[in-house]
Amino acid sequence: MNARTTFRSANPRWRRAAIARRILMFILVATQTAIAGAYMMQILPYHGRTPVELAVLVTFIGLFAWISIGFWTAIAGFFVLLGNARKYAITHICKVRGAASAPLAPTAILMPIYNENPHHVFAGLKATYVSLQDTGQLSHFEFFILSDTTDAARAVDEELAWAEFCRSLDAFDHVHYRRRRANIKRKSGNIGDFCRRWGAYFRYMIVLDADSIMAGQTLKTMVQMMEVRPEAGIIQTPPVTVNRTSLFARIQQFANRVYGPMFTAGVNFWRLGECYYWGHNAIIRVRPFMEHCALARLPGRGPMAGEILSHDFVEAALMRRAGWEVWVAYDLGGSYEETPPTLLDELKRDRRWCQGNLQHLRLLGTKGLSSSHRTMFVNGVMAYASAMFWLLFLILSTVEVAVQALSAYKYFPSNPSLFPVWPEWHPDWALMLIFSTAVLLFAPKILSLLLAIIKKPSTRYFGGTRALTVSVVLESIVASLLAPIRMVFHAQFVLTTLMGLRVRWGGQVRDDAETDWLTAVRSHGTVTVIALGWAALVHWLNPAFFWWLTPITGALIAAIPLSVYLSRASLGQRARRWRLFTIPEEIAPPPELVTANNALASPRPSTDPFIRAVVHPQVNAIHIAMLRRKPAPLSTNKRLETLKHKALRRGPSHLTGDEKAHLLQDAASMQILHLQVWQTTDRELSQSWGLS
Amino acid sequence: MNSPANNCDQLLKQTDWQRAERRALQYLKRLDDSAVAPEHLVSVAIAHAQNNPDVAINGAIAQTMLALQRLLTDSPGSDPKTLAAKSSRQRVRHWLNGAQSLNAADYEAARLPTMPPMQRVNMSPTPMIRHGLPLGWLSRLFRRL
Repeated sequence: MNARTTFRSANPRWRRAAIARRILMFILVATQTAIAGAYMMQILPYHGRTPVELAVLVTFIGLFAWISIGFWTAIAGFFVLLGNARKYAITHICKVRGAASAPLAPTAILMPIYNENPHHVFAGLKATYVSLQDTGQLSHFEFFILSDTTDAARAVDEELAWAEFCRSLDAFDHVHYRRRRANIKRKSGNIGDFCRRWGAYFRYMIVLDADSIMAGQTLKTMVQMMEVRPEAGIIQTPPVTVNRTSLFARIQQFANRVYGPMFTAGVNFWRLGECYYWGHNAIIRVRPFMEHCALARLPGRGPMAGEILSHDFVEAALMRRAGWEVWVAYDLGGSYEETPPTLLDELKRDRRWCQGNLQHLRLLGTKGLSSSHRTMFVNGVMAYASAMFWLLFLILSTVEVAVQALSAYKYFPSNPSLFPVWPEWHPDWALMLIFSTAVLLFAPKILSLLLAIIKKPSTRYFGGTRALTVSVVLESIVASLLAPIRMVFHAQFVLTTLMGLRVRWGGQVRDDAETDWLTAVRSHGTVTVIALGWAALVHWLNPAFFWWLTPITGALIAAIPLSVYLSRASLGQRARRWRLFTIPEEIAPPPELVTANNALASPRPSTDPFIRAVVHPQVNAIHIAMLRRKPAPLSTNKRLETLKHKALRRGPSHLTGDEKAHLLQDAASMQILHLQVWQTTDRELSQSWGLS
Repeated sequence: MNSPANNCDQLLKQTDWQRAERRALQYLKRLDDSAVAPEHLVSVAIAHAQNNPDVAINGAIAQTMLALQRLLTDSPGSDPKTLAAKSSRQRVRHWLNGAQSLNAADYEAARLPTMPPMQRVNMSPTPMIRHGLPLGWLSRLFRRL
């Protein structure tokens, strides 16, 4: 691999189309925003001539442009799906080139994991594996579970789950497990480590997430598409969120399933071959990835420096910079993932993503990136920064109200002038502006609903037309209530990131776990109190404005019960019985999800992994077999001796987590403990290890 | 001559061997290997322990478990060199049968390979922000805040 491979096709037709479409998009957004800005200027008492009003106007324009982009993306997606306009769909392009009969090539399926629940991970993997086996093409694929798990006890469960998986499916030659000792560069480093060591064996790699499930036919199609489209560097599938039971997650699943396809088609409409890579459920051409997508650390100190956290966007940008296309196969099914079960879990994930996306600000000026990927970086930043702008807009509006209430009207607000500025108030204009903003926000939902109804057969899979319509209305209400809560958290994330507070890299919550009242009070209590104070202040200043602000302050005041009740699985199940928030994967689950759910329903070991690794002959054997045996330094040996003595004298319950982890990493200690525990005659000690 | 003390001693010994049998059966049950006949293997292990006790180890349970370990691991193919040539599937089978009693010198040869052989290829990152936006002032400002 001496010469770097680049792919520079001479201005392909799709690129000319993309440029024309982006110009159209710019004109539409700019015109719409200019009109809205002009309205806003007229609505403000001093027409934007005071510093506060100017700030209100600027933040409003920024926010309006942001939602306008979303609106036009949805409109584009609506017409693409309505007219079945597939000229620039990568699936269609590849179909024309004969993808269906293309031979397959060696492909690695990577599943990077980090302190996940192994039972859950391997259930999903089993579904993907079995589905691929059913296509008869398994010989072209190899699976790699790339563990970055730091919890030694959890790693024992992973090892055992891997061995059990391979044994039950006779998959030792196809499914590999590797655990890294140092998590250098986190997920991107994990994938990079694979590429350096084993990447040369494969032409493609399909990257999964720990909760990903993919249909075998989809995996096969992805490889065939890459084979007939040598210009493609990455093809991303749109994952459908499934398998959750809490009310919050079912609503998210529903929104993703109903609105998602339209937005993804819209994104493809503007971006075409310069599109997104979301870090999982995508196929990547290994060689150009290795040559062009290795990520350097961002120089400097603080949260905007160091390892690139949201690596996927950057890798897509680098792949395109080298001339390779990055597509989203928006109409390719058989790709699934899971959504966080509760609002708080979603916010925890957002905290991490926020820092990653903000880092992209530093990459905006990188030489050679496509304009599409630069706007993608801005888009990612705005996903969180917009919350800060919104909060700022509300604060400034409150300040404006306070100024109006507490000071006399100024007829010459800026410069000395012969003509005074008369106080004007246009409630009809304000209502029109609110109405047009609401149209921008809610029209995509209505269009998605229309699409589902027009494409007749699909409404049955959403619980019927009536249930679908009611679900969309209820989802819109819940989304409106959650928006201010997310706004406050996202604004806080942006501020804390910019102030230099680092993000801890925590494993994601994949199981359904409800939020208890105490956690909700701790997480939302401060915001609730501030919202109460804010509402009282505004009511005192201007009772009319109080009612305008109620959707925001009301939602913030209700944050605690909202967070608790939305996390309830029982409410999610009740909604399902009422056919609310139903998705096709619940009505007619595809075979992959059935396999995954059956695997999840199988009993999982409940005892402490450390006890199992010491006592259970198979677990002990597998664990020792997978450890490296390196001569330990004298000090470590002394500590191990002390710990073994403690374990054999007092039992496992007297060892701390760190002590257990220390023993688990030493093969000789685990071997001795196993033999001696089984040989012990002390009844109490035997019982502490689970023996009779 | 059967004195009460001798009787008591014998009874205790008998109880010890019964406990040892139960422990050995418990071990084989957890091993869950269909190729092993537990009752037969345990009786052989107890016989070995009673007839050829390891002088360094005391107690019926310890002697029986040691004998059982030897029976499980002294099966054909436990030689590390032979093992290294085996496929992953065969190696796992071997490990599950209690090969953990291999000594340290043999260990690396017999270690379970969970990944294919490595084929190292360099992957060098390109510095990206030579032309990046100067945002240091923003971070400094917020840090001061």
